[in-house]
Amino acid sequence: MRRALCGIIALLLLCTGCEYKDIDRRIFVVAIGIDKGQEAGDFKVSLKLALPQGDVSKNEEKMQILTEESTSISEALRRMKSRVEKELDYVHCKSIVLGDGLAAEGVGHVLDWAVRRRDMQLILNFSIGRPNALEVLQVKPPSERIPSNSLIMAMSGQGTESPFITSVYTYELMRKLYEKGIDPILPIIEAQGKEEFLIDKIALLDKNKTRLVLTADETRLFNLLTRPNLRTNFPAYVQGGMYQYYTESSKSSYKIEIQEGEPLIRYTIRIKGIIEENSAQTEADQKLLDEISASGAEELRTDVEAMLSKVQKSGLDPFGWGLHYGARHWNNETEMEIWERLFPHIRFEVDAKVAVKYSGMIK
Amino acid sequence: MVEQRHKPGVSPEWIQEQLSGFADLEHRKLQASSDEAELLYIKSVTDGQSISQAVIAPFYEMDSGEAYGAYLGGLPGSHTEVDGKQALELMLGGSACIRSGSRIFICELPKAEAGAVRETVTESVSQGPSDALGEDLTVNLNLIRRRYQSAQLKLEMTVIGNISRTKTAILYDESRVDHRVLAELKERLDTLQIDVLQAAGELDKYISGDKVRIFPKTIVTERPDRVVFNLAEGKVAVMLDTAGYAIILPAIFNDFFTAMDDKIHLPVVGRFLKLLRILGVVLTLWLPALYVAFTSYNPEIVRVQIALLIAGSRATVPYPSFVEVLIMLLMMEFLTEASLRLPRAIGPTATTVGGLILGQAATAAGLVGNIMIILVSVVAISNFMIPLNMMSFSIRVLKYFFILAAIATGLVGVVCCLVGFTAYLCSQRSFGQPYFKLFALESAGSGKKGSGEK
Repeated sequence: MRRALCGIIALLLLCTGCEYKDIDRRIFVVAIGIDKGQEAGDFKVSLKLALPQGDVSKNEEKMQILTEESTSISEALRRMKSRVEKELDYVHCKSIVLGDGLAAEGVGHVLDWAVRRRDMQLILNFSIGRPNALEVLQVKPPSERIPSNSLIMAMSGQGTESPFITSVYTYELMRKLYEKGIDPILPIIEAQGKEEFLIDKIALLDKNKTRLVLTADETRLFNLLTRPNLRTNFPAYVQGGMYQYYTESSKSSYKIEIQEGEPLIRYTIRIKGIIEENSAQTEADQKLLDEISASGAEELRTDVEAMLSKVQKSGLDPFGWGLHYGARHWNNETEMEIWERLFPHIRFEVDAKVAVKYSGMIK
Repeated sequence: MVEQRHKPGVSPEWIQEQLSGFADLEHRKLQASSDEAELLYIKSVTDGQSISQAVIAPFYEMDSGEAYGAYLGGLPGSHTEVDGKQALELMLGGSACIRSGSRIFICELPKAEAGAVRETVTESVSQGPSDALGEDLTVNLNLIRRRYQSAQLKLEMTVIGNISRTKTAILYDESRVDHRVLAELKERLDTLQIDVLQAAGELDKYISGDKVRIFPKTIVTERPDRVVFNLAEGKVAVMLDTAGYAIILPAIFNDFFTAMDDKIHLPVVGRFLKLLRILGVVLTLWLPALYVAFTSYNPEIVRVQIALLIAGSRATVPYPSFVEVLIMLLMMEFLTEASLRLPRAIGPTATTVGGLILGQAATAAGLVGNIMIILVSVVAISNFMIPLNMMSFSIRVLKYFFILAAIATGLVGVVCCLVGFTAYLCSQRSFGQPYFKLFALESAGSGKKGSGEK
């Protein structure tokens, strides 16, 4: 009995399991870029590989980019396997960048592939790369120590807390692509030279491809409406002076009301702020603070209303109003059709309240 | 005569009855031509030499019983007017009870084993008593009796070993002990057939029953205060002559993580220290196994930064991760074993050469990764956080099972191994007590049993 046990253990030692592969025999893919190929229907797949540093104390980053064109993504990846000496490992892949051209034709194919692969996580950041995915992958900020780390940090919010960045995970994109009453969005990453990128816009998609791109300002308003406590600044104008206030806390909610057959979406925005900039350099007393609050709220109201109308005109629903409507009505067969009919007639009412509490450190 | 009428209870017979079950109780009758005297004392707490010089010798030198009585009454630390309770306290504190004619004297002749007692070596505490059990059984009994002055503390003597004839003392508190445990222990000791018994740990091996054991079922300790603490909790202590250690049973898993200075520290600090110890066990058990699992099977679990760091540090290592781990761990075991055997003067040299120079050279040569060195150090240090040596050795061996599991199937193996060992621990009994009752109160063993909701 004991001899048999010893034998089994010895055998176990010999045959290390089938998935056994040491970490130094794997090469980690940290980002994947997918563009349109030269020929119609082809994919140009680029992989950004992180090469481990031998000497940790040196601040150098080693990376390699492989590019392959093929009729399918899987085929391109298999072909790339024979171009490196180690096994390509996708478990640490953190972002998929779609080329602008490809996103304009459709994201469904790539998304389906990304969700199906078992070694790719569902918390990959999906984004659109401009002018194309490969150039975004090639960006190498000087502050970066680990390949693609800056992209990961920026998108995850662990690093910069920019009010212009929205991140979209694979599972979110998948859900929004198939859910009725909500449309997907994707952040746009623009490569600016070899050392810098810019993420401050989002693209609105219908169920397949990009339809509308919001400007940076609109993106910030979009973020204000979709997430709490956005840290940003908004302007206010009082008596010719320009003031900027920092949003210490913000929250927003909306209600869909049907008034005499006319749909109305009422947004409520509450912001607490601090004066950050004062072009007039006047003394900020309570009266001025109140005026700034009122003017800031008015400014915000018009901007938000303009943004909402623009989104509505495009016929897209990135906020999920339709889903909201459907969730609160019981006529399951017809509610979405009714919503389709109501959608072009939606009126927006924005109730913005800004309370600028504090004038900054100046007495 | 007067005092005897007032306290009729105090007599050598009465005291003997109260102290029944004391194997170290000495009862002597002194007989001279005309006079008679009776002498009663507890051997382990009284000074035998003073008794023979101050009590026995004068008896034969004196002419009459009267004179002897007067002599005893004049002895420093002699009491004549005591009640039963005081008498017992005096006896337990190291007094001899003498009846000369009709008078009863209780003379304090305590034994203090200060010179012969050595300091603790394996279980040191930061602020607390540093007396350790010695190799002489009577000294040890003295150490215990001095800390546990109760008539309930019973002592039974037996002899184990056909050749070694090792004197063995079984100590327990009559009112608190679980008698089933006691009966089981006696039965096991009776059936024991061995030639030589030289160490407490050896006895533990013989009486624990199972052949293959990974976890110790009895506490082997050198601290008299731990013995006393456990006796008060209703446990049984077995002490051997010439062994230097006592064994305490039954022991549960949690006992092995209790240091004697937990009581000394503030409650928050004590808890924190205990938490640290458990964390240490977790680290020393899992770190090597997790390293193998993460580097060879599941690199997706650690962050990409760490994955790249490990990959970078392993870039020059020519063999698979588990060979690296095993080599380093074995090297560490060699070091631990060697420094134990080395003469004390050379010990630090071995540690420096082994730990620092070897580790540094191994990474510089690219034979092992940097991360591996850190890991092995953590494993080695945290292993010694366990206060009791027996358990620390068990854990030392146990981590190899986890590594084997990790080599075979990665993280899944580690988890399965953990589940398996938890189940094994739960199935274990130490003298009928569930071994793995982690969260039960330490004092719930005997006294407070049944006083709750049941």
